[in-house]
Amino acid sequence: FLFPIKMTSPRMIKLTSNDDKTFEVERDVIKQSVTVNTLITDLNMDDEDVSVENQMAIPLPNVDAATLEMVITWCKQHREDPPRNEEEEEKKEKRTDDIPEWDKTFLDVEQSVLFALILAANYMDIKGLLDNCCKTVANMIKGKTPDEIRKHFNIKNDFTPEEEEQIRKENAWCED
Amino acid sequence: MLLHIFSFLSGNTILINLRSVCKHWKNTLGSTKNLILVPQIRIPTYGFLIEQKRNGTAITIELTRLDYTEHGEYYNHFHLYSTHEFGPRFFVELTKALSVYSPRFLSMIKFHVTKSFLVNFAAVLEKFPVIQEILFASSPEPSHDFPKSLNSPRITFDDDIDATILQRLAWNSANLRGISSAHTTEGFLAAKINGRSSANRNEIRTVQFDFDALVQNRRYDIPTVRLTMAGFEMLGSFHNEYAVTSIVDLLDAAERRGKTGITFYWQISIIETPQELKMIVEHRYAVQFKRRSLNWHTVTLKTKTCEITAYFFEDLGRYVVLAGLADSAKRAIDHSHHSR
Repeated sequence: FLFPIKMTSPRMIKLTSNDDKTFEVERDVIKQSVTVNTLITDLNMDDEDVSVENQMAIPLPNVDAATLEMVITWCKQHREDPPRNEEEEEKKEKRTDDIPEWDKTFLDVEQSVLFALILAANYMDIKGLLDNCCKTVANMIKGKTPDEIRKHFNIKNDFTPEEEEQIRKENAWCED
Repeated sequence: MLLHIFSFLSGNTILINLRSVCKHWKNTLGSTKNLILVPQIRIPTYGFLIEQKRNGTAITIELTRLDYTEHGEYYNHFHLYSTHEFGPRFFVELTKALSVYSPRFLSMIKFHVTKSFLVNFAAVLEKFPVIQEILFASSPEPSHDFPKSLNSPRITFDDDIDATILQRLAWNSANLRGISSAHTTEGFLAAKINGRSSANRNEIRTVQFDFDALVQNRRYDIPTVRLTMAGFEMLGSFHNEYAVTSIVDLLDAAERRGKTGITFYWQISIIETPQELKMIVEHRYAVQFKRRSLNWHTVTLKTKTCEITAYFFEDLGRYVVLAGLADSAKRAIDHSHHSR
């Protein structure tokens, strides 16, 4: 006998970017965003038997379409990641050499894109993405002199020579 | 957000560089004192440190850094911890952590450790002979396994370590170079170190006490004077006839540590240890000495049982402690003896 198997399609959630582009994303994927996840739970959206076409889209007023697309891509890639234990994460060493290879490639983007991702990850509360973005920026800072850092991030040196001298003096102990 | 990024950065140089980039970042970072992150070892809140100590699951480390200001030098203390087991990885990280500090800024390290820590500790010490003082404290399970081959010239054992450890130390004293004095009371043990200037390694001054003699003298009626200056502590136990010599030696060594400062802090404790093995008198006074036109200073310290007047003279840029202090201390000690 062959029994008919009922195929249940994954539950989808609609997200709208601040430039009015709507994305459909699997519920299981977007749960990595604490902000979205909390919203879905609070609104009892999981219990609703509404087709995705009729579903209310969750607006993300701080995220543009291009960035949201990247966020969703990242979440898809990391959907199998074990849930984070924030308490444990807090105790863990702060390292920057443990960014997964896939993320390294994914985050190898222009600074403006990277910073948009950081802001989106922060707003959507996706800690894994936020950490890896911040580690990527931290790696850009490491090993650079103040001048190199300024140049890399296009920062204007707003210290007067006197102030610079003062900083040098304050931190003379570090220069041995 | 910036702080989140910065939290992934560690090491003095990086943080100093960040402070030097622009005002915005400098303001974001605030005082580097709060951001001196030793690689892979993070600065906890004090409450957490206590909690971890209680659980005995973590190591806490206190680093003392010598800073310079227009008022002279002072010490900053950093409490650090790691939740790692004390396996090989921890020691690799610790080694890296200590490497960040220039030797002259690393004057004291305090470890709260468990037994397993001590086994591996000797190897780390050997890599850092410049460490001036190491305090072992609050071992949840008092360890009897102090490494016999400890090579560091300066160690202090403190807090709740079993008194029998003192005996073991005495037996092994030939292997423990540099322990120059020791005194014990119930649940308390301190083995003092060489007095040594962190600014100039050539100014090593040893305050010599007979370690074994003190250990053997278990009458517990020898008053102890502990002199602490900016984190530098001298401990002396002496009989009356040696009081003058001992205290002058102590202060002379301490003075070498503070000679570059116009303003510095002294703390003098009179600790009386009666036969009941209880520390019944312990008064601490922090006194700030300032240069006066006459180039001399006096300070009177009063406790319930004694009074000490200290005279400090400045002579050719060096502070010389006069015998007056020793005489006063001697009188105070005599007085405390008679009052018992």
